[in-house]
Amino acid sequence: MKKLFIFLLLILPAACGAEDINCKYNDSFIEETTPTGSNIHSFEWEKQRDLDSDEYVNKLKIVYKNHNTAEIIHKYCDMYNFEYIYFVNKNPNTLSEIDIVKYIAEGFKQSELKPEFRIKLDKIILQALNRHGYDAKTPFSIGLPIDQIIYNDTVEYGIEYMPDKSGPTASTLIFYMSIGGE
Amino acid sequence: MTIGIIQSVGVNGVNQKKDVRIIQTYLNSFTAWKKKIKPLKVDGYAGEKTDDAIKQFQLQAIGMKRPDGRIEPNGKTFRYLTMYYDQDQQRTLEVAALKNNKVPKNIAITNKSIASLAGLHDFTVSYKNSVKKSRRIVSEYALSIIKIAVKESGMKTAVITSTLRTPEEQASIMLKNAKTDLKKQYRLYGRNGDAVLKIYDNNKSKIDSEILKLMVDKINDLEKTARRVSNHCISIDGYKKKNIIDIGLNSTRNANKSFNSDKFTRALKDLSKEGYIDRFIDETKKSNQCWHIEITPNKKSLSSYNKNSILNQKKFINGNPG
Repeated sequence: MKKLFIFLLLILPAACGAEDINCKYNDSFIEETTPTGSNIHSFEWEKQRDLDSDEYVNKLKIVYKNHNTAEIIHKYCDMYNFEYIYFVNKNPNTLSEIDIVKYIAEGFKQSELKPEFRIKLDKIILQALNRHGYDAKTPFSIGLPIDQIIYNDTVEYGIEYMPDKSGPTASTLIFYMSIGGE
Repeated sequence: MTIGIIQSVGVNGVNQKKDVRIIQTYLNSFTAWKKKIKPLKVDGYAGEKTDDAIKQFQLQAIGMKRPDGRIEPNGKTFRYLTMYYDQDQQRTLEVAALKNNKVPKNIAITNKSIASLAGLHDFTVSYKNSVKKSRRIVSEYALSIIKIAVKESGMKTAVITSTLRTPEEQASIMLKNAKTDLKKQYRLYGRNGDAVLKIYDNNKSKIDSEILKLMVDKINDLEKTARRVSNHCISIDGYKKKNIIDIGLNSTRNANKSFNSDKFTRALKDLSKEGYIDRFIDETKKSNQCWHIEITPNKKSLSSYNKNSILNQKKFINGNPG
């Protein structure tokens, strides 16, 4: 009994770490769908609370048959944050512009809120990569043009790319989008 | 009695009898035709004659190239039909339409009354007192776009409540709020804002001026790669290329005798669809209660408002037709 009490004392602070907060989007906002695609080996949903903000986090981890992996992160409370992280784990260890457009288009399908784009998202990404002077071996982080978006709320979105030959992950591609907030 | 129509009137419209009577009366009160049309019988039935009169109004009075013959509540045609009336006159006219009374002759729209009210010179856009003088730098072009929306809505003025926020001002606000409730700030900002808050989070032990400098550096770094921390956070050079403006709901309401939020929203939305406004966010129902617009100065000539329009623009605002 004493051991159980000590155990409860140890786990209680962790369980109560995230406060209950009033949110515009609550913890049932994300429907945990089954990702489909012949290239998917396995997948797993995970629920968390963000340590910095107490926002709800629903994460979908995907392992592809080509050994690459992806994380699709929905973080929400007062606003909605969507993040698609694609990890390239084998050769060729860098991504071409076409790969970037293709993977982001695939990941974007999973976003819960979708703005309308004045021109297609793939064209916006290609134009931004060309303007930036894309080089598959150099990391970059760019914002995408917000005047191409039609949505009745604040939207920010962008891409990050990190080629990393030394680590276990060859390259990482991130597409992010935030809707609402300041 | 609320004023205006409830549903669409004209070609493929819902054509509720009351709404049709109101539109027929407005069309009869418009006498500034270039090519005269016969007055309509105010009977509440939207037939060929009513449809044709709507098309003629769209063609002659608005300058639409492809008139569709339909009037939507607070849509462009309705805004043009009502833009020269104040709310009392509209009420008088609509009561007359529904009760089959005669419309007083003095509120008819004639060539003379249009000429006296033509152009944008009777309309103003002002800044709220809280906007610093150094931040009152909205371009003439952007002010003209706002004036068009003001005029189409039957109002006289709009009040700008916010323009640009420099990186120093943005960092200062974020630092102050982060010290009060950091978690809440993390919830309110997207990825770019979070990166700036992280600077505060990682440097809490330093003095404020040092933290502020680091936060400003981060905001400037983000802007170099087209990443904005908030809608209004932009350098003065950046602002000259893109005017970011909040028009306050309450300030604008208080400054107008005749105020119509829905009409003004529709006017801004239409100007956005037409490409004059790059971004439009209706934030009137959010805590900041404003219309947020972003305009690129001289991006597009105001060709819709040439001499064929009852706005009677004498010249194009940036000098180039089309």
